[in-house]
Amino acid sequence: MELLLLQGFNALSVGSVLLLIALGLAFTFGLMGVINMAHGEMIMAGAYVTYVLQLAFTKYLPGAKGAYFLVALPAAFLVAGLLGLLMERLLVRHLYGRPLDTLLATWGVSLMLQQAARTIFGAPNVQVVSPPWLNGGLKVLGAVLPYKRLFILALAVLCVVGISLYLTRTAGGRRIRAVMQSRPMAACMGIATSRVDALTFALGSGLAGVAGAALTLLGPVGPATGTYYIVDAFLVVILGGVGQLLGTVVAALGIGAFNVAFELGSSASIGKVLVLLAIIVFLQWKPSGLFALRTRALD
Amino acid sequence: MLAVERVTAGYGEGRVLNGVSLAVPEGRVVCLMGRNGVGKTTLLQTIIGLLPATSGAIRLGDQDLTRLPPWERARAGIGYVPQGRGIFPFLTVRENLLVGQEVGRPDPVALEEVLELFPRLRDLYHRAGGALSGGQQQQLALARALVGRPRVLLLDEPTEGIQPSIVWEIEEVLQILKARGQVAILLVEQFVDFALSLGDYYYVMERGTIVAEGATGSADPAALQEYLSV
Repeated sequence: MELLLLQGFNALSVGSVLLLIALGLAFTFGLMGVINMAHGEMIMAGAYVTYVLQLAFTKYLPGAKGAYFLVALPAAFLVAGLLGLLMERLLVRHLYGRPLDTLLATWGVSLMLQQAARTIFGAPNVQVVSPPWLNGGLKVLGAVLPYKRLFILALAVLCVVGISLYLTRTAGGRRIRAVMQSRPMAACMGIATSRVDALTFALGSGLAGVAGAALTLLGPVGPATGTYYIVDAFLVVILGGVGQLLGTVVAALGIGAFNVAFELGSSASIGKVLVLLAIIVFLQWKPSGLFALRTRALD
Repeated sequence: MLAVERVTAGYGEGRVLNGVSLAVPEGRVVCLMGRNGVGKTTLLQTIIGLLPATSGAIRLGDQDLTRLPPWERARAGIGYVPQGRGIFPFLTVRENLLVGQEVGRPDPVALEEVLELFPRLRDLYHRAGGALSGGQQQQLALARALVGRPRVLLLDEPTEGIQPSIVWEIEEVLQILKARGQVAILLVEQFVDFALSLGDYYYVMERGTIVAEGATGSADPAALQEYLSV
């Protein structure tokens, strides 16, 4: 019973981390079709923002140093979002409809950002000290569920709910959906599509920044942090089926569950291999992922 | 009010429009006729800005639209109902209509007026646009263009491939719009009878240029039919 609860929680937890890192990519890759190889570096940027804020709080506001994390989440969103906005305006928008060029160019950006991190913060990983109020865990039926994991889970839920409300209930979200469904018609209806593109890209990058801030709870931050997560992020979005938020959610939780289940019977790396194999087999069977948007109008 | 002056345009190397000029006066209905492939749709796409004009000018009132992106032209007062209708399939009818008001501020009065013209849309209000029948989508496309209170409406074969009962409803709405005289209409239409009954003026296109024009009152239907027969 205890084992089952713990494994179930682990699955949810791994799934929520995957969900957080993939949500931003669901915008830039899923909605816009931009293969953004620098997505991982947006995660890294968010993580370093958290690191810097933690240092600043410890130095200047030692009395409230535990609060740094609450400031870090919106700050990471803003910094990564601004980076994304710059990237879209200066580079990506010139490459729409040219996926290979986009892949190479954003990969270049990714390398530049990694080098920038190395220059500013040094090559070794840095450790972010988690806020004290997230230490410890919740005891349920003899198992201990760490607060950090619970916090990440709650953050992922909050992000998903926030995004879907934004997309379905606001004029800004409606514009994003209209542009993604029919770019020429949206333009003919008076929507400045290039502005919507820039905002969508910035939003996706900002979400990656939030993921980066959250990941500092789980491990150290380094220039290679992004590289570590980018493959997982693409796997989740592709498995979920591009263009559907629900697909991304189900895919993240599904991969999380299988990961934990496979690891239980083997080792961590064998578990990963098995998950990857399972995804490859699944995509052979359903190439467009779990939830595919299919309509004549999108052909 | 809408003036197209010696416009040329095309796709890549192929030129489709060879110096087209036409005018749509305020509140009037102007029909554009011609066989398939002579460039009627291309002309409408060039007016709304989906295709750049390689030379010539497009003016609305005293505003030069030639170099503006489509959304600026829409905001200047051009409403566009494309061939194939261009409904957003995963937006509801309501959301499709709200996108139609992106040209300015949300305007509940205009929305209400348009829903009175198309009462059928009220029953479909929360359905996805992609789930509507072709005729319903055509009505939605027309309604969506009207909720932005355009000064000129570009209609690309609004009755093509649609069940007759809805064709009749759409024609009735166009008659009402004409009687009100608040919006000018440039209508691409294959049916000579309908074009002559609704239009104030007509143009006939052949191979990317205007080959005949005149007031519909003095037009000879048989001669016009000659231009359209294959």
